[in-house]
Amino acid sequence: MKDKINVDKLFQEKFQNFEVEPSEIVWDNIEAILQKKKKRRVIPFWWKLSGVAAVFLIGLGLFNQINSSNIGIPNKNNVVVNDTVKSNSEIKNGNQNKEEVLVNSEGKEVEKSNLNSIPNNEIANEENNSSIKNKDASKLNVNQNNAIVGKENSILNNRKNTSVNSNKNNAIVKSDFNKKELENNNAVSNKNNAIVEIKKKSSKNSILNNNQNTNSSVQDKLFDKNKNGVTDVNSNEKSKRILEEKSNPKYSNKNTIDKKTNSSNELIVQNSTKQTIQNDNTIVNSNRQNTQEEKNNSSNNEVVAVTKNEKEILKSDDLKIKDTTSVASVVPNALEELLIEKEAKKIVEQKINRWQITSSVAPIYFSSLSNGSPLDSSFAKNSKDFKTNFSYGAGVTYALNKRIKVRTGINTITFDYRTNDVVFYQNTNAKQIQHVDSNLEGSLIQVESKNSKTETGLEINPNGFVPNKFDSSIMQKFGYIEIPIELSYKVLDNKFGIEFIGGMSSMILNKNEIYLESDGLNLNIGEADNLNKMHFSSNIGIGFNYSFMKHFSAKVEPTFKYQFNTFTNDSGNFKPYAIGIYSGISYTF
Amino acid sequence: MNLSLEQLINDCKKNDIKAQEQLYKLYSSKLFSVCLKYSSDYHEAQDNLQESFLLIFEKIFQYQFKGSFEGWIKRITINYVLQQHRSKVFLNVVDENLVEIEDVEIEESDVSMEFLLRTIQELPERYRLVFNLFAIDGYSHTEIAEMLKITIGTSKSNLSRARVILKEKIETSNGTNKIPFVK
Repeated sequence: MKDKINVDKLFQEKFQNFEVEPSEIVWDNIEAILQKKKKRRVIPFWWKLSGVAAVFLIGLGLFNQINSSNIGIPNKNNVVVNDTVKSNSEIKNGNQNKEEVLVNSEGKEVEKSNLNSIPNNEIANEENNSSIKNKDASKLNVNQNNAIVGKENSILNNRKNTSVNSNKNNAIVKSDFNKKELENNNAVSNKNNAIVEIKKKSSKNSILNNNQNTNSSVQDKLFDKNKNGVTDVNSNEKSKRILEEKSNPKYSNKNTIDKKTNSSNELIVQNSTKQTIQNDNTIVNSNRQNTQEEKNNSSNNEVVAVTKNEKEILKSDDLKIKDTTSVASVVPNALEELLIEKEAKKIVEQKINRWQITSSVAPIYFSSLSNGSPLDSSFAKNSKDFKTNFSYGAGVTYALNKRIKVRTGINTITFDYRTNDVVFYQNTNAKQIQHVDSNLEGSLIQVESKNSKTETGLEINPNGFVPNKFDSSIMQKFGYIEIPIELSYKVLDNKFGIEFIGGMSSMILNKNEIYLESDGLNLNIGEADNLNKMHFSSNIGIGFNYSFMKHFSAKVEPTFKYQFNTFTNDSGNFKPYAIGIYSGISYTF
Repeated sequence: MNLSLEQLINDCKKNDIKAQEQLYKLYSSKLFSVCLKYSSDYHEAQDNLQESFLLIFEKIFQYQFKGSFEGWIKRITINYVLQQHRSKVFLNVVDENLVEIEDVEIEESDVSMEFLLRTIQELPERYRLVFNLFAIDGYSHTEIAEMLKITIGTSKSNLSRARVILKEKIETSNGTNKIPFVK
């Protein structure tokens, strides 16, 4: 007997408790997709981080620039004071050991306002003191005079008699207080210095030249100083005001001393003029020392021009320095020269347009140094086509100096290559490619190399068909966000420039896809599981650029980028590299 | 509602992958059976299951703990399958004016689950959907017509055709395969 049963009912009953455990692949796929979604959220976070880093870097750069042009100066002054004292003493060590000790002691003693602690030349001191006493000069000035005279005398003592004698001869002439004669006197004393230097064999010809150059400026200064002292003219050039501020008290004192002693006593005149000449000498000496320190100094005219610009800033600082150190006549000049020099340098440097923004496009020729396959060892011998892709990016360049630049930026870069001569067919129990994390489609497709003879048993698929094998190729695509950090060195710097570039890039993985390609079919079968999320490349290149406008230039930079640790563990002996011909336009500011 | 399920759903709302996995394990076989019934083959069912679960995880924040959760996720799954069907552009070649057959009766036989499933899967897509919705999952023709964007008449006609086909298949299989009858 056959019971008749309603079809609907049959199915209803049968399917009531129908449950089938799905394949594990389904969850694997779901998990992969869910994680991918999470990853997508992570990437913007990276972007934000790198954005913050970029802003921080730029900010730091700007801050440094502002800082060094404004706030930096007082600090520098402090440093400079030390430096000059040191360098002075060093130079003196080389040349005049005795002097150094004396100068140092003077500096300290003057600060402590000791009057009579420098008894090097008793006669000169006595004479000087007496003359000053007659004039009722202020105590501070007396201190200064004492200090100066003490030093001068010490220098005189250390000097050969010949130079001193010539000075003395000039000094007699100088007692007429003619400006021109003073100039001559200076020139003579300069020459004497030069002679002294030659005798000491402590300086090179270039230094001598420098000396002569600076001597001319010293002449100017002395000229002004003397003028000031005699005629009390205050309307001098602004640029020289600083010099005057420092040196006025001393020189005017000297001059007035000279004047008054002249009128009263010839002997004193001679002595005091001697002292002034000696002063000149010391000043010139100090200048010589300065010039030794300032081998790289630009011409004195520039220096003076710079002082004009930096006058206000310097003024206040100079006043402070004067309070503490200027009393020793040698130091302030050195200080000043150094300061001026530094400022001059800064101005010259600021003329370099340090920043540059660059856009770039590059065809990337991607290839491998070896024959392996990162997908599966069975594909190692298959031929591979490497596709040429384009990289786009933007960069920032900062010039450390005229030749060396640091550069960074952000580029997109994609590597595509095709593994040829593979076949695929549908198979529910498909053996997966070694390093492919298959998606659902991929999990049901078995891909194997045409060359491979070990055919895993052909399975009849659920519909009972023997699967067709399709010729195809595997396209692997991996894309990165590239953050290069490179140094470039300019070899040729004209309208047409050449530079060498070296550095490294961080590559952040942002694309990882594997496709099967067959007659018109382009099927995503999953992604590689052995790609590092981040890897590095070492870059080397040569850059050619041509500036076609004041701020704009075009560039072409063939760059070789060798990829390190692209793959996590098993790269299948696949060693990728990329050659990019980066071309773009830069804006310099 | 089960407290732990509620907790699980809440964790899923926070995109906790462990919770999602647990939820999947809890319901995957039930939903897979739905997918198998509504799909043309195993692979399509797998595909539909995967996409349905992704949809569930995506929409789970919308679930307000009203009504059965199982019913909710089942509806999502069915809706997804129907949506896939609607998105397929194909000509309606079904004869709309077939006479309605109310009861199609067959001799009860010990047909295997696999066989029944295959016969269902081998139905033309529209027939399969209508038969599933009406006969197994208890939707009315009005609902089906709305869901599939067809007329009620078409729905009824599709159902009848499906029944006939199923009956034929089962009977021929009984004959050819010589599966012993059980009383």
